[in-house]
Amino acid sequence: MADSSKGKEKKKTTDGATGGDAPKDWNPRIVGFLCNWCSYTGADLAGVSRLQYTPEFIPIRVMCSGSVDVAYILKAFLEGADGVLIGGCHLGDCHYLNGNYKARRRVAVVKEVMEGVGLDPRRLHLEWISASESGKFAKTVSTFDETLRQLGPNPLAKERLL
Amino acid sequence: MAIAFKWDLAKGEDRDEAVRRLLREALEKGVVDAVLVPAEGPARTGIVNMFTTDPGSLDASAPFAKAMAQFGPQDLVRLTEPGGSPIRIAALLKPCECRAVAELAKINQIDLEHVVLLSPDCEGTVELKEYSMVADGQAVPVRNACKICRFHVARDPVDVAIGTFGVKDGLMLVTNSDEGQAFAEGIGAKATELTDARKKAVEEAIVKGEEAYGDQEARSREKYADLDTFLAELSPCIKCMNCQNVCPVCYCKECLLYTDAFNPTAGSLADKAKRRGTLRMPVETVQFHLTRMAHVMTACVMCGQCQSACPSDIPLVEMYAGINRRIQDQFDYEAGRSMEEEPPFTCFSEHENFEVVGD
Repeated sequence: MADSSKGKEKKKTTDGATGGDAPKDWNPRIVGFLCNWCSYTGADLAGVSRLQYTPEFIPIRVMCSGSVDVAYILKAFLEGADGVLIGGCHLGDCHYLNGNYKARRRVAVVKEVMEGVGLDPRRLHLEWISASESGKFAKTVSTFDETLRQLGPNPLAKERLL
Repeated sequence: MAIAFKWDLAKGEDRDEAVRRLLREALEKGVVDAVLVPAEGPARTGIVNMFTTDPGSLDASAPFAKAMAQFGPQDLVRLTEPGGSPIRIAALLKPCECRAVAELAKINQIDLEHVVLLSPDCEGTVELKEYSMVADGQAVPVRNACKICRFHVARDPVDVAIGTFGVKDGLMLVTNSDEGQAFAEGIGAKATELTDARKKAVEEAIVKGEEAYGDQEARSREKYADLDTFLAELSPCIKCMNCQNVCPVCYCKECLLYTDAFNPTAGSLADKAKRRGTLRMPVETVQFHLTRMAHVMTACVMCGQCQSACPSDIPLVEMYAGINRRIQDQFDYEAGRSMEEEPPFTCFSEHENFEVVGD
């Protein structure tokens, strides 16, 4: 996370939402696709270790970050998630050898699509979190939560007659 | 290494007729068993592909048709399916269709072993429904996708490019493969040199195309910087899925979007309506388009068939122009450029870095 602020300065908020528009009681809702072997176990450890992070985090256990199709990432946004976190094993540690490499390519495409239609790509976050990195997990979610507070509610999930 | 051949016009022949004669020769001399080529119906109201083994029937073909038949690449999927005894096919398709064929061949949907791909230089095509006006000799603007086309001249995976740009008399057959060379020799074409005029004309077409695409890309980036524009333009979508059906590179036999996850039940619709107040019917149109963009964009050849098939005139080409090249550039990839390049979703490299982790 240390270098994540560097990239953020270059990109402007593209989806037009700002934290200022958010209702007072609004908390960013995060859907997390967590891989069974690393990130989910890391999240589990964070819970056991009583680390604090946003209660609006909705974990979905998947077998591999590489199994998360873009359709489900987009569905999460359309169903009201303000941010989507994908957690996978560190590169080289994938239980299925290379699923996380594929996830990385897929995320690169989705981020471009999001930017191309005017949805801020920072709403999608990919992180490698191992089973022992409960601290990294809690910190990732908290920092992501902070980013989303700046971005405001997801405009794609607004109530509107499309 | 490209090797050029000459194909002169016989007396009183136009270029269409010269290509018809070329295809007839190929059938009669047994260079190929069958030909897939665009044809004009007797009413001259549209263009379809014809598949024929009969040299006499080629009179109806329209090799330089100013409209693009639909499903050319998909026809080749069917025609090269394993099972039957292989037939040698000469397929004459537009350059963009050929690039889609290359994409499908890379993921084993088309077997190119017995196929010779021919592609005439393309000056752009009009909407199919406007073809009759072209046939009447009226000037009709080309489709939006053709206005920003970067590939008016067929390149590498095409066996024989049928050149007209920078070629004064007759046609120049530029072969890019051994199969293409064998084809040209088989029909009795005479070897020649690539002229400077030809090289220059091709170069100019490429530069012009790149410029037009670059301009559109910049306009699209600006236009769709705001999500509301995208949603407003998608709003007339009736989810007929025409764009998906005509898409030459959308190939899954079982599409995720037809599964239960994306076709909600009455109960879940009622729940959602309760939660959100109002639902736009049919549902899932935005999901459909965004998913399609992400699934297909690495292979998209910008042929624009999706927009041409859209009954609601959604400017899909404009939407795709903003992301198409950017996405493919990330992977140093260009759809249909080379048979050697692996499709981005089928490979990875340990040392690549897209700077998407932790951002």
